[in-house]
Amino acid sequence: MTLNRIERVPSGVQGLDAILHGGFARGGIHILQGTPGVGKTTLANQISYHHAVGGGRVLYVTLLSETHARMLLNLGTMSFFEPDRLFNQISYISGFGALQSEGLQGLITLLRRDIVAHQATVLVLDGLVAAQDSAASDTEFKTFIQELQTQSALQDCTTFLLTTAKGRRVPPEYTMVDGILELGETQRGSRIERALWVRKHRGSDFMPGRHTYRITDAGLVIYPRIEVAYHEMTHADQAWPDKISTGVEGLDAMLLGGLPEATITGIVGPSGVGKTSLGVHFIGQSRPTEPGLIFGFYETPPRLLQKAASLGVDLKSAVDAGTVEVLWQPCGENVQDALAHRLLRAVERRHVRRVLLDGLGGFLEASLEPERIGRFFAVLTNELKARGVSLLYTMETRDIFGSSVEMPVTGISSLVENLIALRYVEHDSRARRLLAILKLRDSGFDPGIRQFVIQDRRGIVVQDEFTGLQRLLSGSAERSGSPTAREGT
Amino acid sequence: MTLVLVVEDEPLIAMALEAALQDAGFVVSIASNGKQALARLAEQPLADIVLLDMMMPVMSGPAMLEMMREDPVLNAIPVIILSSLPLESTLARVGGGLPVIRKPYTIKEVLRVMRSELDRAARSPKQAPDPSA
Repeated sequence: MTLNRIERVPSGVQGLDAILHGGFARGGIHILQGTPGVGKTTLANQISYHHAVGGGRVLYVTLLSETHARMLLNLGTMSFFEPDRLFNQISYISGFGALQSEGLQGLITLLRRDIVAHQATVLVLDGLVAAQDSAASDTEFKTFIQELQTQSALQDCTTFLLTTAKGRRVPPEYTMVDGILELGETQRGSRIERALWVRKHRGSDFMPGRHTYRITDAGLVIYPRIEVAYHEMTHADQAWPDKISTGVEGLDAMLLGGLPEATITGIVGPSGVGKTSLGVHFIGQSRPTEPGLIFGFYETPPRLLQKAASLGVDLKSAVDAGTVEVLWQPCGENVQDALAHRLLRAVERRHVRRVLLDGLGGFLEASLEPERIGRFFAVLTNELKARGVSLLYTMETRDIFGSSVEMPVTGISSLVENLIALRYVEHDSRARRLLAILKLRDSGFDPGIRQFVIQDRRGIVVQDEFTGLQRLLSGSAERSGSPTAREGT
Repeated sequence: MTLVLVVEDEPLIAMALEAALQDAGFVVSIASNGKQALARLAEQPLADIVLLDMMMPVMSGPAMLEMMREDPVLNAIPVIILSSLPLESTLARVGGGLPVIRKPYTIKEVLRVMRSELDRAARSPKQAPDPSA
């Protein structure tokens, strides 16, 4: 027995068709619900113009909403707006007069006639709340929706009803429609993040839960929640037996050949200790067959290239040759899922194998939902590893000198496959840099604590192991055998 | 008194325009689509000028214009297009080269174009056949 597949009308909205597993049920009724200003009209128009590009015809009927002139003025700023499709393929008409003079029956008659007259394959009814308010009872309104549903199916016209949430828990129209999309906002402190939920989607599975979106010049851009979008990896994972160079000879020796390929490595340490410099060495090992990506939050591309040059790493030539790409995320109010999608797209586009994420704090600051962090990074890093990506990220610790070498955030065990700590240590009244490997997946390593220096045009140079000293990672060295007496005191 | 027929499907816009035109001394009749407007034009007195929206339910502006052109009496009535269509090429195609007022408009602009069209029609009226002939 073969199951019937419901034909879909794609939205053309980035991210939404993935969430809906292909689009909206063709010939069905779909509610787009949300408070004023969340982008319902923009979304409906975006769907309409995409449908017209595919050869469809759209009838956009307004009840009590903004005037057509005002709507078209606003749409004129959107890149999806194509004025030459107006009239022939997309028509805006008002149904409010019919509703006012003849009630819901007059409106349904107008819709029925004009769907046929315009040969519409998509109908948008903007301002459903006006129809709801004009109904004498819930039953009358339910009948209206039922009639509309019958007409939509009969005319093979996919219908979108735009409405504000009226606070009722289960409005009667919800029981009959084929889909419900809710658009809303989440506020945390002074930040507001827009999000979309699929409440109902007949005929196929969908990505449940909250998905953030932004309204841009291209309309709505939706970012499917990473944990749902990639809960199954897009590539089958495999064993990666090789090791890859960090670009720092002495560190490779400590790692007994380098970092295990396709793993996640954290470089933790205080500000200015050399985390990004180490990352630059790592990315400097990129090759045409092993392209690199720097996904950074703090240093702009020109500054990063300058830093690389001072370390003796010719990143500029690598960027010019396309071997390395630098994607800088301006600081500000980033969206966690948007960042992850941008990273994954950049990896996909160039088949990237080495990524420097500088630094992890940029992702953490973007998150409005700290409880998601653990699963978010687990899914994201699994996807990266399945694509054969070796990720090296930097993470700043708070204290310049201090006793703690723990990860500054908890619940991100997926991010600590390999962990390298960089520290300052006070020794002979001088601040020295030291490096220690704390963890390396499935491999032995040199557990010694070594001093390193950053030399002009040569970069990081790992030196000999500290001898005769202890408590180095605490920040203040002490002579061995003299646990209470500090060096130099 | 000059009779203006406003053909507009957005009731709030139609009502606002009606009030403003009445304040300016015109007599105003409202129709919410082309079909209703043709019915109004079949009544007496005949409108002196028509302000016509393009995208409307039941019968669109261009469809109504086509009907008017087939009737020599109606064809003689000056028509001004009121439209939010942003492209000149689309307007030229559907508006038949008639004067256009872009939405959103001001009443000052509407009155200026209306008076200009009424003056032009008075100076060189379109030849309508004598209905008694």
